Amino acid sequence: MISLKTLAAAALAASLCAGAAYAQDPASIAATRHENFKKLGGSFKGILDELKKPAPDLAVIKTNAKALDTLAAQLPTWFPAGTGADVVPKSHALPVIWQKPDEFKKDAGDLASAAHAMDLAAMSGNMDTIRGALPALGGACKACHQTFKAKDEH
Amino acid sequence: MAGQRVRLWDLPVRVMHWSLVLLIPALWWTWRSGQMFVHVRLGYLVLAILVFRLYWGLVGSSTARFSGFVRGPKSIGAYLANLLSKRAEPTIGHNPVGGWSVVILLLLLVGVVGTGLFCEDTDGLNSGPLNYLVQGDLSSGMAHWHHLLFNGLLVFIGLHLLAIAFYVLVKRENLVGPMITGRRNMAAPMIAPSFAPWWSMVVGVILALAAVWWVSLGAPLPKR
Ligand code: HEC
Ligand code: HEM
Repeated sequence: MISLKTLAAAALAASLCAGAAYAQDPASIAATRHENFKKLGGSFKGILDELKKPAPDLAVIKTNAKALDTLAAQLPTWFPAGTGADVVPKSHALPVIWQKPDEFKKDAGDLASAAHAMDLAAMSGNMDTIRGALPALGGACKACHQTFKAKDEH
Repeated sequence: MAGQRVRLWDLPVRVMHWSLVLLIPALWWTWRSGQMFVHVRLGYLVLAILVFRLYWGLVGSSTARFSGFVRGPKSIGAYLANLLSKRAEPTIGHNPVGGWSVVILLLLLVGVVGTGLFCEDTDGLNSGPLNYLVQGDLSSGMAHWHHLLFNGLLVFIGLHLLAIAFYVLVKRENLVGPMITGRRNMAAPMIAPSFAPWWSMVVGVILALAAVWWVSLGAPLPKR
């Protein structure tokens, strides 16, 4: 598939740029990052699942929104150069992250503000405000994944 | 040739068949291009088709009923033994091997749609309507099974197309035309299939829409 070719080319380019040596093992950094994303995804899902229920538990939403806000603020630190899919095959982090750092930072910033807005909405305790904060949040995940995350080929 | 033109496939069977032909590539494409909102909506259409098809397999026209085309090993053996013989009579409805192909295709489709309903969308907002019922690895692993079953479906769609090509190239029988027009020329007189009344179609459509509506709400059960 075309995406594989593009990916291979991008991977090659990135490994040339990001050739510097790093103290920490790239595979373990990528594994920790994956765990962090699972937590990030889990806290978003925690909010969504609660809202599906006939009587959503506000306390659960608040806990998840807080976790999401904290994790989203940390996201940019999960990506030291040289830990992308070009180096760690299991990772879905595309090398383009380090080729377009400004764009990546902007997407991460969009998430941070959307997650913070969700945290504030949860603290307000108003279900409509919480629901209103969802599209921006989901949109921030999607925007970054479209450009910077490899599709699962399984 | 004292041929006779018989009605073979009823309207619902043909509409469902060609809808799936369009929907399956569209579902693949909407996933591929990240349009999960559309993907899930098209998936609901497939769910509706499946509910209707399973209902139709019980009460539909004789060529649509499972009891009419699910055959045992004996008929399959006889069919295969006669496959290349010039005297082999065309079957009214699915032949014994084709019948099983329909069953397998439908089962795989049930699997793909069933897992799709529980799939987690990585971007969160367009998860399947039943995803909220599963958590953790079960939730994130569902897309894997969804994908695997989809690939299984592709394999059997491939076999299905090969069988049709075999009929055209080797047996000189066009099976595609009848699936479009519903009719086919038969050389010898035969017992015409019986067709289900229009109102059982209406019942099926209502059933299918009700099922989709209920599932899209997250399959809520009445409170005790
Ligand atoms: C700034 C970019 C960015 C944003 C914003 C972002 N992600 Fe991601 N996400 C990534 C990248 C890159 C990966 C792949 C990491 C890897 O595999 O090394 C990823 C991976 C994931 C994974 C792991 C997927 C897997 O393969 O198992 C989940 C879950 C996830 N993200 C959820 C989310 C959710 C939910 C949001 C929004 C609340 C979000 N992400 C926002 C960039 C982002
Ligand atoms: C015939 C029906 C369907 C087909 C052919 C189909 C096809 C696919 C394919 C090929 C994938 C990619 C799997 C992967 O590698 O991750 C996918 C993902 C997915 N599908 Fe379906 N699907 C169908 C029905 C459904 C239904 C009914 C739903 C839910 C209502 C659904 C929801 C999803 C979700 C949530 C994902 C995961 C997307 C992600 O990773 O973000 N699908 N589908």
